[in-house]
Amino acid sequence: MREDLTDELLMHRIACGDAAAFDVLFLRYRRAIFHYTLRMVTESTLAEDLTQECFLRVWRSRHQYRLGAPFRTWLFTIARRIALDEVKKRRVPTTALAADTEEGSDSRVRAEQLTDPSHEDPAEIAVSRELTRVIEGALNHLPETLREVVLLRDRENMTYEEIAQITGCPLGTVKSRLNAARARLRAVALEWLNAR
Amino acid sequence: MSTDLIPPPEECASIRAELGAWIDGELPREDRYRLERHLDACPACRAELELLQLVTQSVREMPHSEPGEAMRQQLLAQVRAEANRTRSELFIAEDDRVRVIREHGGPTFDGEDHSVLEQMTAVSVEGRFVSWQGWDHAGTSCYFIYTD
Repeated sequence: MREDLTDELLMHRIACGDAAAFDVLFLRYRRAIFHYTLRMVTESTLAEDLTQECFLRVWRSRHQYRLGAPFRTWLFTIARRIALDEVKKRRVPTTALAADTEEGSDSRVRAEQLTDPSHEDPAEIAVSRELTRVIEGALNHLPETLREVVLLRDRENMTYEEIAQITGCPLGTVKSRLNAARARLRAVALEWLNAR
Repeated sequence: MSTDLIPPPEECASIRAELGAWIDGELPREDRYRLERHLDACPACRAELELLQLVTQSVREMPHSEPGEAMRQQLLAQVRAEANRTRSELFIAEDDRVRVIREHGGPTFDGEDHSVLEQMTAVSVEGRFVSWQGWDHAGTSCYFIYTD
């Protein structure tokens, strides 16, 4: 099986019952789907189960896939439905963090240093990793409606239009949710930077 | 930069609401130019942008993990078992959706339903053959036949 085939062409082969084409698509997206479901349900074993269920549903729904439609959007729509069903079923706890809109002038120099790729000082790298862990924790505590837009945008590099299709929300809602999510993460980052 | 060029604070609020869209490359050109002109003149909004970039960068750098190989093998075994049961399939498209109406055990389409099909034509995607397509006598239902 050629691994350079587009997702959509692979889906046509999968519709013919081609298991090798399915494997190529699985290998292409397993990390993204696992990561997405892991962030949504915050439990590794459960995320593995949901990833497997997602791909199995892709296989079994292969005839519902609309010819020529963007595969990635379709895939994440399935993953999202499965993850949100699980969140509702298990009531995965999410704790909304207090939004902090305080200005960030004190953190300016530190933020500049951390975002500047020329700073390759091991100490700075360690700080950056620590901040990533802090943001990761904060992300896990966002309500899932906010968390999912951050994941789809910043992890999967999706456009607002793609996110709107996956979540079934208007573009304006996608944008306002992203702003709200980032405002909360920003507040956590600022607090952490100021406490250092 | 002289202080008299610093924009009024009320402008900063509207600019900051657009910083995320600017980072995402989702701002229309005219808004982008307005925002970039503001950033050139406003150190406070530049600091805000840097903080926001730090946040998005942190999300991107969160460690990647992946499911184990055992799951792949289990999934593939299940898919192969199901694939062997239906090697060639007939679909019907209605309301812009495609669904299976009949599954065949053989490698080629050889069912009695061929009587409903008019002349079959090849369907290609990006220059590659993917299926045969045909319409029923009434011209209302479209059939796709995939064969290995």
